[in-house]
Amino acid sequence: MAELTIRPDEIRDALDAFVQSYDPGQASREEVGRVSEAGDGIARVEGLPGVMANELLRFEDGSLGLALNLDVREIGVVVLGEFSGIEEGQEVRRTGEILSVPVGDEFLGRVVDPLGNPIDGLGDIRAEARRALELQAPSVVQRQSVKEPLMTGIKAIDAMTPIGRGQRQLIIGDRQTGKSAIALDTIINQRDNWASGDPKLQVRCIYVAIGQKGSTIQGVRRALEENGALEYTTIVAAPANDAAGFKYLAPYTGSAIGQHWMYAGKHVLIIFDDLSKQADAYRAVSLLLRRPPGREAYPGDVFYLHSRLLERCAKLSDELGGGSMTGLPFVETRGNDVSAYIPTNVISITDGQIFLESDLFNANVRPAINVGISVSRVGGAAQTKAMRKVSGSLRVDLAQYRALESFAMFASDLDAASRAQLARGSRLVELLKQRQYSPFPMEEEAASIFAGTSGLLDDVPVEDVRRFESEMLDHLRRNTKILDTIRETRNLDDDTEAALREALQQFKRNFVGGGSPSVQPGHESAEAIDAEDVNQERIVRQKRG
Amino acid sequence: MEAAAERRRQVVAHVVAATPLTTEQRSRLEAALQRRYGRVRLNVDVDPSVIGGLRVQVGSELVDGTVTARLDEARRRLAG
Repeated sequence: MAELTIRPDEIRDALDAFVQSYDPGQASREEVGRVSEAGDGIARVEGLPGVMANELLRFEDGSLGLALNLDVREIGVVVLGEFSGIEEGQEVRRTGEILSVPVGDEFLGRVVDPLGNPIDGLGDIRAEARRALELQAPSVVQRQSVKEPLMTGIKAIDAMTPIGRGQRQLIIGDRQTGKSAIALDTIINQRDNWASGDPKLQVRCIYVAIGQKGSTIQGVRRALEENGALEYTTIVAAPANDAAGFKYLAPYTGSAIGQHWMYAGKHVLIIFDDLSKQADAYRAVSLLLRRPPGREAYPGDVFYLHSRLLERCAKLSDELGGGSMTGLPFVETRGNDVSAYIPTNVISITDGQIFLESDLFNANVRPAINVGISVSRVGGAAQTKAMRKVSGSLRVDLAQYRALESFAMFASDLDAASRAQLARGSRLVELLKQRQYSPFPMEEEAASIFAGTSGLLDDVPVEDVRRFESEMLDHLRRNTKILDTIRETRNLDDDTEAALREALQQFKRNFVGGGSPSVQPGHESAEAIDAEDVNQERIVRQKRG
Repeated sequence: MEAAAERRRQVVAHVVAATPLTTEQRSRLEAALQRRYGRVRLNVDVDPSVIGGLRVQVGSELVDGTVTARLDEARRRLAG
């Protein structure tokens, strides 16, 4: 800011150049219509018989509108932006342009509005091209199956509901259950890929904020900046005070920016936070345009609204450069009800969902992922071999733990096998907890999940599990090459597995000796807390029931 | 008026000019418009605020060659 000086010469030159470039030229023929009705961000316009669907129109005061309804005598226009200056009788001109946005690499690190204009005060963005908002998604032959992992850095997701490049994975849950935290962690976890400079690894991120508080968007931007993730991220912002038209358009804008990169053979991650607000905005626009309301007053094409958007996320075939666009749409539920209209729609469109539950969140299980109903329909194809190997029994173990947990509510006496299962489960739950902004690299995820599923944690007290994990990873980093081997081969072969098991056992002997006051009391308190832990879980279950 | 004109297989051209058109100007304009639209009925308004030039609207099509329109356009560009 210090060297910001304004030289009058430069300004004069710029103005001169600008005036020189103005050429009034010949009067050209254009089409005009007249506003017959205006209000609530909607204008009805008479005339303009030649207008195209989704064409931009210009009102007399310079503001833009989007032609959505084409009727015989008039058209319904959504005003983009301020609509107080639009009055009946004013002229409306065609621009001849289908709605499109500028795209290009300069959008990285910027915050833009749904028309692609920068709103972060960092100057103009030089676009490489323009891209129409409503384009057909890649066809069947242009795609290939999803097979490369997109690591989120969150153990629970990468192990049980893995996300592949080109997949659409819905993240669904009530407000305040940590949905945006997952998005931020996933973006931050791409930092090493970006720093590697290898276009095969790099993932460009787009965060589309729809109907959020301006302060939240600023918070997201700051969090990304502080974690060094802003330089490969574009934020498309349609905050809560924007007109409904902007909130409806914002996801398509983000998608257009991403498609430009995808067709150039690059990898893109796009996050729609969140689509229920877009559906609300589209409902408002549709009702004002007098389109017939359907279920929950949403218009009939609200399914198509989301399906055509999410269908643009794809893994392109090798002939087209093999680029991909991974979509993480968010949907907010009310009262954990996933059977409402918009959630069921989006669940059926996407390739799986991650369900976040407020009860789990309040029970301090964070990320609050409900393992039972979260699925990824791409599955193991989107995992590295190492992750596939260690997480094979994780899902089953946790499912058995959940079943046994509800059964153990009624039985006070349990056989040894069930007790062992409960002990294993509660340690796995503990192991999958993770702080925000601390994504794990793949090899560390694999090592700590291996520790859990191989039963090495079973005699570590539950409250010590997280300390054990961090010290264990530290030990592996310092004293062995196992983590490097896993990272380089992306596999956990039998030799490495044996070495890992050996290293962990060796570490555990030291841990119990050094970490706790003494061995025996530590063991006893573990038993007692274990039983208590079961009790605690029981209370939670009953509340939920 | 448009409906009446349509019945007579005519289109109405709304013309706005700063000063009244001379007979010669009027017939030249009429001939030019007839080449494009067929039978045209001229409807000329005089409005000094357009300063100069002509503004012709036929149906939804508008040819705006007035000085005011050009000034407006320049103003919009400077503002943008």
